Amino acid sequence: MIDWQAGTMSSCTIERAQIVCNGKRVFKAWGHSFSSFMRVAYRALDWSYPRFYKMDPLCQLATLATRYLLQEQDLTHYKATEIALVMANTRATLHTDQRHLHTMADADHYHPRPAIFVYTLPNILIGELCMQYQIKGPSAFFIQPQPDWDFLLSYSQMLLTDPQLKVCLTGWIEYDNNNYAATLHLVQPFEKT
Amino acid sequence: MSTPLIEQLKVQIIDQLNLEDVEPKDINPEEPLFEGQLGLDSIDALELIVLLDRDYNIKIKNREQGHEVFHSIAAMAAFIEQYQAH
Repeated sequence: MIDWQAGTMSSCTIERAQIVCNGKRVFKAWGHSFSSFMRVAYRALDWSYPRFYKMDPLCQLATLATRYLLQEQDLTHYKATEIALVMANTRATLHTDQRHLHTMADADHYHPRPAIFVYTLPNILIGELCMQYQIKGPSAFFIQPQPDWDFLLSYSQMLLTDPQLKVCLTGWIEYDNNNYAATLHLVQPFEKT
Repeated sequence: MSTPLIEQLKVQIIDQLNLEDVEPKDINPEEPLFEGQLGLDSIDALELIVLLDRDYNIKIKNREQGHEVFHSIAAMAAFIEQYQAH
């Protein structure tokens, strides 16, 4: 059996009000709602990115997980075209889809919000990360009943057989009504491990 | 220039566009909305159209009018006052 985790260079997990990078807890803040937790975790970073506040919960979660992960592992020495992205979750953007639906539910107060609608596709999460880090490599977002790391990491390794690619950011990013979980791995080709 | 409508618009825009770290006092109403300090983007422009429609019952008719009305908060306030006067 292949140990797909063997290609992982660095990892970050956000769940249950804490952020763990490479096995070490780097941030915790008990007693917050999800949005409040996101804000305090963002402000704990030495990083100014006002767009963060405009994102939906799923993109905020992916953005923070990526930012904390990249504090451990710098990506800046890779070219934009050398980085791939593979993400997955179960509910896609269901939470934001429902918010968007709510803006159209009342015919007398029919005001769909562009800023909500724009986040009603999970691919937007990938777009946000590509904008933040100028990533131009291949990408994919999968919908799965539960995290299938064998599939996600083997798919990442398949992408990394392309000699133009050096690393893949591979993750599970899930959000639904204050329940959240993010796990990100920075993956390199097997032969380099 | 500062009027009650301008101050109201500042609060509404901060709320509508999720400008979390911006205070009303930080916004110069004469400053261009889209090439100034606020760094607004095309989605923000659409949100401002929604704001005018929802809160002031004003529909922007075309792109040129949008450019004029959304130049600054002072321009938005002047447009709203002109609309309400008719």
